[in-house]
Amino acid sequence: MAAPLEAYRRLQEAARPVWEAVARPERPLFRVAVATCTRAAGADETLAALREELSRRGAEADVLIVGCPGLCFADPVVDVHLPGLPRVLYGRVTADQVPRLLDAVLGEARVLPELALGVVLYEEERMEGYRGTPVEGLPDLAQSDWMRLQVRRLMANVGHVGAEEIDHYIARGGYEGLAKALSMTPEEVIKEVLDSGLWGRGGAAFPTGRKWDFLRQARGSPKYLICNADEGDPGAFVNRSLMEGDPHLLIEGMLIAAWATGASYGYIYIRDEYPLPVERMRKAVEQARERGLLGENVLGSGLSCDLEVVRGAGSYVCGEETGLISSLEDVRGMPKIRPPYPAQAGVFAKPTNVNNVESYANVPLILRHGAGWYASVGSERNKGTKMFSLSGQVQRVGVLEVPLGTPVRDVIMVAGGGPPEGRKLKGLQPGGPLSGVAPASRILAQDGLPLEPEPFREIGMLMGAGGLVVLDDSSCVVDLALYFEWFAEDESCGRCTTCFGGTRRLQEMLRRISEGGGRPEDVPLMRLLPDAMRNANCAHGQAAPTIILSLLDLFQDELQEHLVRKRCPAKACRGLVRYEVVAQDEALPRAADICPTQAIVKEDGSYRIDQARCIRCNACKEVAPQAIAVLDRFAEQA
Amino acid sequence: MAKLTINGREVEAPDGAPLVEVIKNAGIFISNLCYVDGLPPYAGCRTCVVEIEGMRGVQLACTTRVADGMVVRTDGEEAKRMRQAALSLIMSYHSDRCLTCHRIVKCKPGDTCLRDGVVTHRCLTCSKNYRCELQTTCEMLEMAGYEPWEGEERTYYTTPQPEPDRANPFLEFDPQMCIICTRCVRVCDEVRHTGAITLAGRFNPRIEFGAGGPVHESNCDFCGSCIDVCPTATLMEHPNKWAAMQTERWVPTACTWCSVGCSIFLGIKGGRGVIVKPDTAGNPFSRDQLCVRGRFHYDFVRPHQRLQRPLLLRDGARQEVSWEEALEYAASRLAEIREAHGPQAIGFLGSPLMTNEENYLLAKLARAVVGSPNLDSTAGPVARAALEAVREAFGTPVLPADLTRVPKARTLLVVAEDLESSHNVASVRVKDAVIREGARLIVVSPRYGELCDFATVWLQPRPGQEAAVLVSLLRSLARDGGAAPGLPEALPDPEPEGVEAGELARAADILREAVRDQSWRPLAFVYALPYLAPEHVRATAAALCGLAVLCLGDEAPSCLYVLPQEANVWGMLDVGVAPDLLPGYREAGSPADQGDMERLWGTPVAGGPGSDVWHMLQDAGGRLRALVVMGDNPLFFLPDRQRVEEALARLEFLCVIDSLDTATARLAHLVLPDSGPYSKEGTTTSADRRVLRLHVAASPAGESRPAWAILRDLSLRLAQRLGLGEVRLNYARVAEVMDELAEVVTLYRHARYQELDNGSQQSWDGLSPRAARVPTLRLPANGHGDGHLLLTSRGLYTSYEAAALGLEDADRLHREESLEMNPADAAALGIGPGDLVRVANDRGELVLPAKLTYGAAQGTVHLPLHYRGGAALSLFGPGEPAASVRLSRA
Repeated sequence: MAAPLEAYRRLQEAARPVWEAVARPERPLFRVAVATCTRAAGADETLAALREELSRRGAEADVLIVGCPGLCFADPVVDVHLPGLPRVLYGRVTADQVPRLLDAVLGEARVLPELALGVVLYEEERMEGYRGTPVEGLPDLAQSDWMRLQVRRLMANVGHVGAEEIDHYIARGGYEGLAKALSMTPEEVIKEVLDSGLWGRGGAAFPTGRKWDFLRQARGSPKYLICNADEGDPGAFVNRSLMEGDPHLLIEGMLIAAWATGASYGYIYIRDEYPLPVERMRKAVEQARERGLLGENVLGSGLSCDLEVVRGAGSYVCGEETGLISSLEDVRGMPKIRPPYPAQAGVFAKPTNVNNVESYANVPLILRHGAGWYASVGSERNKGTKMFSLSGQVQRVGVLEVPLGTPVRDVIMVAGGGPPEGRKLKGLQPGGPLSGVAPASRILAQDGLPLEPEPFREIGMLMGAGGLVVLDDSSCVVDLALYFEWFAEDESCGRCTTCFGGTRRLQEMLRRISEGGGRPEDVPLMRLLPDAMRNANCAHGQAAPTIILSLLDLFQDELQEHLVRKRCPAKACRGLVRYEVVAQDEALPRAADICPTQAIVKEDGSYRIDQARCIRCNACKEVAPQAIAVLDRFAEQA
Repeated sequence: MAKLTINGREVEAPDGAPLVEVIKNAGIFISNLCYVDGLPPYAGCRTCVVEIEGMRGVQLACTTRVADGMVVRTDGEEAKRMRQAALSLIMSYHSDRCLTCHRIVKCKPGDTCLRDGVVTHRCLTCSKNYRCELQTTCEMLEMAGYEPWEGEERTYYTTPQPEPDRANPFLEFDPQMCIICTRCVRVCDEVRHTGAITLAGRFNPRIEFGAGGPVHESNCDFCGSCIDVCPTATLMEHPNKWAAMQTERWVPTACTWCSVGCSIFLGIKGGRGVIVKPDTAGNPFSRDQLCVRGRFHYDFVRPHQRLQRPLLLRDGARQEVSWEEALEYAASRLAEIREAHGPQAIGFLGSPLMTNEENYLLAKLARAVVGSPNLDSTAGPVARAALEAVREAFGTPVLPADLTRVPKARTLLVVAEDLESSHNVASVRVKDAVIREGARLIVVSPRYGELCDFATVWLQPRPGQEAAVLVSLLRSLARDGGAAPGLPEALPDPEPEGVEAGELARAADILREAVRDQSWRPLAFVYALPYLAPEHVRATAAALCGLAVLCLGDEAPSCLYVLPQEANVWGMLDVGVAPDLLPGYREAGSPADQGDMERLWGTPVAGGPGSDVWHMLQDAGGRLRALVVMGDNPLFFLPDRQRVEEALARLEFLCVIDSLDTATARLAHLVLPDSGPYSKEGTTTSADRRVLRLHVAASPAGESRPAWAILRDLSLRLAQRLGLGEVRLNYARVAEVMDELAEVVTLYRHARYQELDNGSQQSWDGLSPRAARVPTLRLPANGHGDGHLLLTSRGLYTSYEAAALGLEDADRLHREESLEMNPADAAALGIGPGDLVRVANDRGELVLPAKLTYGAAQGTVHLPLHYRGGAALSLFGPGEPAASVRLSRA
């Protein structure tokens, strides 16, 4: 057996008992998902309450901190593993529910069906996660609407192993891919990655193996690896979830890349808004170094590579690979001019490879199970799985992993449960604010808009890095476009006039339209700008007008309503609506009370809205939904 | 070379050259609002789009590199459309109403805009009108009428714009005009290595100086490079910015405020200089760079502040007299004194601020007409001390050094108190070497200068111990078995105070590696001469020559750069303004050389070494009865002020030729007004002996005449009185003086005006190095008393001319009007920042505010030389590199 594999087996032997204690616990084991999303829902409080309650009861039990298993709609989640029983995942376990949960699970009942999301049954040998059989009285989680489309490979460990436990990872086969890679030549590793069909998950969908080959063949040393974890698109949080739940998968992937490309140092650049992933990744790097998996002579193979976790400084364009490189170099985070490409002259003018978190994370699985296994799921054109974060106006939000080619319709309507009650699906905004909006008609078409790059490209959009933001009919695309152009200008680095000037122009135009100043000749004007803006230096500037093209090509009717009839069908453009009292009910006094401009006035015993004062903030409507109506401001002109 | 086709025209260009430069050089217009020639592309404006055959869509000409067979079109419809669209976006950040208006040519300043109510800033009310790159670009791209945004509510016009910064005397910064091309940012950083300007802000990107405050609070040193590249009126010269709009003509000339020798264009309006631009093509060293002095000192002295008419001291009062009377008076007085006391009773002082021709005529007047060898300048002793060491080392006083090699050096040793301030553009080139070539820099300076920030090692000895530092380095290198002719068996072992042994060893290692390893070469040794202490200068120069010889052997002289204090010091010595030198470095004591000169001039020449400036002053009233001072100012440049003043008062006849009423001129019996800088023809010689042509740019003040004409007329009258017939003195034009000079001084053989205008350079005939040996190393004693040591040197901002006149804004920024001292010293004396300090010794005292800075070593204080008419020197004794002073709170 090759030396690295042998060294790895020894590591694994040592790790196994630690994992065994968790896999087959002898006393109750509580897995508490502590991640950014669950924390927002109160996971820290739940954890504290659980610990306090357990010690108060003197209960013999263990608590393990894990990552978020992706069911964000049910946060905070707690997974209870009682000896001799299948694991049960409980949702919405806020701190005040903890005594109730403990009463049940530590008592006679042993389960609390009201909070249970389902039974979790892990088969150790199968990587495809949550599979199990129904237990009486409880549903099988794997068969739930949320889970049944999913194939969990990248997420196999997330929510399962301890978030800060390297032994769990190793015992479950982690770093085996690295050991195998180290027993191969770099060329063989690259070939394996090429054969798997893996392409970059950051949005550009460039074959990862070819990218690595560029760096491998580049002259100059040292060579650098960069992991782009500057997941800046609103609505995208798949990388965060992975780093919080299974940090070693990324480290292993980067080490394999280092071996394949000849890189000797790697940076994991994590956005500033992700303090927990920074903490978890730093800890994981530390642990890997302790086990001899990082640093000099990894697993006795001769590979020397170290990693450093770098915290970003909060700029969207630093997610663009050359912008990220500028940021790493401590200069203003501006995307660079290409050529030279990063593989020729990247960070500190040295050859560099930049990949997304998910791209690296796929590699250990490919090496471990082989390219054939990897390509066994997915569509005809695209192999493997992809993580998506579903959010927006949809019933269930969270992180899911589905085979490429899964129809987005199913993801939204089945896993997500469709738009909220009484609302209609309007569209989907994938891949961040620069990628445009797909209309419901396209999503609900025959093929359901498969989740792979090509169908999106056909409608002038990008599938992006995994964010799926669902829009229902309360959203207005003009309003959204205005917001996105503002966002694009706000985040523009300031290099290309077409970018920071063009987005400013578009904003001016959209603002005018959203305030009732639309003109038919705006359409050709809006076509002129994207043309010029395509000529920008980086993807940020080039893609900034995509939403405008969506608006012009896919939402023509809605735009025409704004331009010609001066009305916003979604009632979202504030300049095009007015608020009126349509019924006098008991909620009105409160609405009048909270009105920030005192626009709700009482005359002769009845309320009415003073239009001159109303700023259309919607506060009254939230308090008195029955009494207040949103009407078209320019209705009489229609 | 690559052959390509641009718009159907065959063009040749170096392979890989940026396409935009190739298009421009071919004389084809291409809009490019962010590109700076020679710097990497920024690609921000997106207007330089072209169509290239075989490539999809349009390409940027700035990021495209030319290749053989490329077929480029700049005039395609698609490219034009893209250019216009991009430019219209650029203009959304600029006050653009006039730029797209077809009426722009018809508008007059008082007209009300007929088209638009929001127009507040108009081209007609902009000081950049008609010289604006953005405006030209709009015209060339036919933007008139191209207004897709007509009637649009524009945020540019509805948001309040930042206020312009006009708080400093040099640079105006009006951010509202900015189109964020960042040329200024890149030039300041990549060309000047200053980095005072940044692109700040994300939403609403904007240009900021320093941390966003006023320009003068940043580390900007007002070189004005950003002004040259700004395509709009965002960065403008403050002085004369409106007058410069109507520049009538551009006169190529040279800056004479230090010895670097930068070529400039002076813009003239109404006979006065109103603006300065670098003469980029005219000078291989300065290229597109100047410093604050070159760019702004041209008008520190106004024409009315210069001398207008000859002044004669009569009955204790100065009276304006006619030229006829003045020249007649001068000739008769000199003839009388010569008659009564012999030719040696008349002394002459030339000046490095004057042209070669003028200094040459002064030498001729002294040696051939009057017959006196007593000829010197206040800058002479220091310069000659350096030359003495050079001559001993290389057998010639002329170093064949070419400063354009400095920016290519890989290892540099700079001995200069503050090169940044004294020789600014040379300092930029040293930084070029450090930043662009990755060179290692050793700085030897008792005081902090900006260059120290770029140094690998900064050796900071006590003042006066620079030579000791160099000898220590020499010793360290010699210990490795280095051998060189003249290297003494036993080298002195000085232990320079203030320099750590470890630092010294590190510096020696750097030199050692440069000797051993070709990749750390070329090596450059730069020595900027101080104003004071000839003995120390000789020792320092000797040690530096020795070090260079030890490192480089025969190559040493071409790697050694000695930068004299003022503009034309070398030229002055070349043409023979020195007691011991005849023109062309002929020996004053040598009968052969004297005979040579007599043959050339056709008249007896006073040979024999004469008295230098100190001896002349010592003999004043005794053996020396009369002194002719041309452009020099002993009461400014010489230490021991009181003795100098007494000596001048003892003279029977003091005649001053100057354009300024200097302290020396005010003591004179006769003042002959010279027309001053920028108003005369002539040549000046730079530190690396490039002969630079000066042209008449500004009208002379009043009746003033160029000094060469004054000397000519005086010489002619004197020659007539003395009955000299053969010597040629009647030059009709200054070019004739240079023609004669070129015959006499082999170094200037090719410096005839016609050849200079063609860019020819000097020849080294007969003055090439003949040897390379270590000169005698003599370390001067450091006999300092108690108290603090006062240093003085050239500041960056103070104009000599205005300081010599005692003008209030000689230092318009008021940065050089305080005493630099170390905070620890200040604390010990209870002195806070800005407190008044009394600086005193036996010679006098000064009271001025303190500026606390760690740039001054403990125990030393610094005062700029030009402060209050050279006041610092009144505390110095002759030969002292630093003065011992007592400090106290005033």
